[in-house]
Amino acid sequence: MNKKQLKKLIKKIINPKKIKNIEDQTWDSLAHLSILTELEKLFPNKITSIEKIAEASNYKDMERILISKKLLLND
Amino acid sequence: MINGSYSLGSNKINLENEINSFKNLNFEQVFKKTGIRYIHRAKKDETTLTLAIDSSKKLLKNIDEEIESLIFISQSPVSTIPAAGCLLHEKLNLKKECFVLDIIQGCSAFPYTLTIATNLINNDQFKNCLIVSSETYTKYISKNDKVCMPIFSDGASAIFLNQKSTPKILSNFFLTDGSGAKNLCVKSKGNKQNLFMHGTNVFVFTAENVPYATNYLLKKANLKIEDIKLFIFHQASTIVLDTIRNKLKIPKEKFYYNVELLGNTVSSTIPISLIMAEKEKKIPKKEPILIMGFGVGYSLSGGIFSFD
Repeated sequence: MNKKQLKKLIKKIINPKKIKNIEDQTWDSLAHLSILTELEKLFPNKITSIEKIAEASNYKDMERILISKKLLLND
Repeated sequence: MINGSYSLGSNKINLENEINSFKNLNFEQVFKKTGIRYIHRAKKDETTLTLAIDSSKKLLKNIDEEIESLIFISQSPVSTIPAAGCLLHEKLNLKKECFVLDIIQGCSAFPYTLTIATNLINNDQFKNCLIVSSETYTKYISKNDKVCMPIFSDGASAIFLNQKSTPKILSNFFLTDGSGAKNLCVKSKGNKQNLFMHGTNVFVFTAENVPYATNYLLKKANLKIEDIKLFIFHQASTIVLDTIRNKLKIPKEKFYYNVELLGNTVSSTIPISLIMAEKEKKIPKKEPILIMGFGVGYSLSGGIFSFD
């Protein structure tokens, strides 16, 4: 997965009209659960085992965690 | 055979109206995740004790044995000193020579209790056991709480077990992780007590540990997913249940859901599901069914049981 695909996945969950700059985007717990379940579909059994994934309530943290786990290309 | 009855909080709330009254939130958006359309809120004069009495009395009408043991499950008891089980024992006019025990493990309490009661009866400690669960979590939840209000519901159950109706335990499993205590707890502010839930953390705990525990139970019983005739998990929310089902590849027809109309009644979800599934003739005799509770604590307990 690359960053463009991650941003697209998040825009599918959060109303794009509410996104000014995806890099600064934060989300509520409902959106967070949706992001996790969508990621889990792409990476079965890899997402919920990641430490601190439940704390990643903004784009920057999510990107950093996924890169550290080699699930997101640092392109 | 499951011999039981249940009672729900008298205020049946259609969440569509309540959630749509919030700013920046709509019911469909929330429903997609929780799968909950109605919750049952206890009225002011309803407590875990009154709900427990109600469900127990409905059941005891049809029982002609004297109760020898009572296990009362509640994490929202009307009293901790004295134990609420003693109050329930008195209200039900049970005999004095009675084993009474309170269990406060929340969502994981029922499989724990079923294991304890089954073992007590099978070891000839007692001839029978009345297992009562009752919760009124909504008393700790503000109507403006967007996280907890759309999920938790109030309800009680009573299940009677005796030597003929105790299940066979094929395997069981218990797990505790107190590091998650802060993610689902009651916080005090002045005189007020409010339920706090970090939903994402609780979800991650569940998504990781429930599949692990299920596979452990299956291995211990030398069974496979396809050998289990019915799966009854704690009815937390649809997103939690669907995640478990997808991870374990459990066919939908073997997976019990009733969260839409009842909400999450904490320790009562599993016994109410068992009672409903029995009425719907979904519990096959002498066949393995898997039940598992998980959540607050963190605590998880489960087992593979077969009922006659």
